[in-house]
Amino acid sequence: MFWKKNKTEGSILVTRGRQEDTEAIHKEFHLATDLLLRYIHDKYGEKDVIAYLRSFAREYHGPMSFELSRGNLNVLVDYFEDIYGKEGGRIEMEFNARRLVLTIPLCPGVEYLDSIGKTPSEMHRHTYEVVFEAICEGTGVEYVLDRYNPETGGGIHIFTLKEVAS
Amino acid sequence: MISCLEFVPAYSEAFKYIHENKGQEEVVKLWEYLSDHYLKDSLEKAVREKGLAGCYEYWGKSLREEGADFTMTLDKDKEEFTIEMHRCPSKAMLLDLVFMEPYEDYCLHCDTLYRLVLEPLGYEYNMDFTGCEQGKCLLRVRKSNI
Repeated sequence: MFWKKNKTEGSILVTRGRQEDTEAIHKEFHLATDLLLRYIHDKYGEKDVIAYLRSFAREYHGPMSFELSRGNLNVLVDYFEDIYGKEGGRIEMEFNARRLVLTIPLCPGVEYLDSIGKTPSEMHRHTYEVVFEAICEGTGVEYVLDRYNPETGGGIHIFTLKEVAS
Repeated sequence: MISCLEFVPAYSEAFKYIHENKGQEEVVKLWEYLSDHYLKDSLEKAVREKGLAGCYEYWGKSLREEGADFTMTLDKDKEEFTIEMHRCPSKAMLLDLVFMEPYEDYCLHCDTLYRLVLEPLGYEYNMDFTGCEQGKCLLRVRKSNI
């Protein structure tokens, strides 16, 4: 139960909210992210969208890149399970120690935008391709976007641990 | 996909990127754009329809979903709405991400976004950022006498 109306005295209404009372994630942030991508694209161009997303991925996903550089593909498995689980999105993963194939039938971000009558920015694809490429860059893991559907945001993403030259 | 759960660092990095590559004034223009496009169907619509009760409704939902620790008060007689933020979930997340340098003026985007919606609707809007570095702030909205 989130609402804690500590008091309602006459015309005064008070609500106390606590972090542990949170019940859902704020899906509206998908709209905010889409607006951000549109703005950068419309005002500065695709080159800046790519540069921004690369910068974000290298900073925010730095710890994940570090794990990948140690040959730990499981860090991606854990990450996708966590994020798509919380978003309520269905994914399929086939993986072994050297290869991970991630299939996303429907992107939860695109699903939310569709539910409020919005079409995702054409830059949405880069939130997968550019971000995953940047995470893997210099780690010894190769990323390939095998398939992408701009209408659903769905696609197939392949991560492969490259052979180390002996 | 940038998940809802990654939105805060994604925004912080966007502000940093634009500031460093396009200039600080361009960051403010982005905030103005977001205010116009992001809040039109939510906060602006609620306040147009319900006055300060619209603030109570809008922030009640969004702060709940964001996991904020706050006290929100609507005083109908004084025509005043306040949010005392004890722990802002966005700022707290940025402070916890020790491997990332947050955008220095991240908190200021709240001021621009909401002010641009509320002042044209006839409200005085004030924010006290004194405790910002601890994830605390105070937002006060009053019916303007002008």
